[in-house]
Amino acid sequence: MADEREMKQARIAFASLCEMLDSHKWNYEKDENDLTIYTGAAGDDLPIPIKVQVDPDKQLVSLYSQLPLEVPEEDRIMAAIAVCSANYSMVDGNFDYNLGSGQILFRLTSSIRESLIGKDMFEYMVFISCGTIDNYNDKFDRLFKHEISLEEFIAFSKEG
Amino acid sequence: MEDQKKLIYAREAYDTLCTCLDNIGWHYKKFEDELKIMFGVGGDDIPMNFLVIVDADRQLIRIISLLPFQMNRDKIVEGAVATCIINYMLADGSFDLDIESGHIMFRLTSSFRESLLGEEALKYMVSISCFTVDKYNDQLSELNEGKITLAQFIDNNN
Repeated sequence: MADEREMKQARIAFASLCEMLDSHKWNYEKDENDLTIYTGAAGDDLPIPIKVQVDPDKQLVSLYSQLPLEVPEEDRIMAAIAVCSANYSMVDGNFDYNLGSGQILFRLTSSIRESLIGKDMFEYMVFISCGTIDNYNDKFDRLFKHEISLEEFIAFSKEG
Repeated sequence: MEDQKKLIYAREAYDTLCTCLDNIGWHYKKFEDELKIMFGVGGDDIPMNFLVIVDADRQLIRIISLLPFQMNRDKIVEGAVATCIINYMLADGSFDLDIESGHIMFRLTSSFRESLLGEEALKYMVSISCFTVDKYNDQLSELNEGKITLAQFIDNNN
């Protein structure tokens, strides 16, 4: 359970996140009790839903984006290889893959613990996430529709 | 952000990192020109080596730990499944498997863009990295050596 200081830090971070989105005239919904915002971006090919949550207990800001696809059962093992290939090329953030449900979620996290967090950090988190997801979501989609092969996906991820 | 300002933030983050490690009595090797440090930790089973990079250009602190073994060719698919299972449970950081070489690297990153990261943030990053690598490195090694099956790995982490 977060103490008073941690809760205060989390609320400051949440306010800063909202201010950043406001400054970009970004539409979003916010849950102030849960310190979570819900938004999205259009993307080149597929929509990019975004959830950013400030966790007062862990003192983390975490951005999550669930890809709008489900890996077919017959491709679940192959998808693990594709996800690893994508992740190995990344500097920040990674794709989390649930083999049971076939869902792929992008995750990017930063610590706010006893730190002075500027709005630019939140801007970076949102924009780099959108860029990375936009880069990969259609490739994953095409892979699981068998429009491209695993080798082609791996070659793409090596390009970075 | 101009390069000079980026460097100022980076040096601040690097100095805070070193202060944090000094305050907890941790031994480490400094590479000041590159804004990097390296340290080793005993671990429960397998020794762990860490590289912490303060990336001025990207304004990121990056903690990296390369596991001291490579997944055998015939274990790459199981390694991919296993790392995905682990990553799905993590709140911060990830294990990255190179499907070609079999190398597995733990990676944890935090931005410090126009921010001042406190000692506690850096202490958190270092400790959670050590904890997470220590928790999973032996399991991945045992999977690789055939000492446990993938089904057992999944059961252990359910």
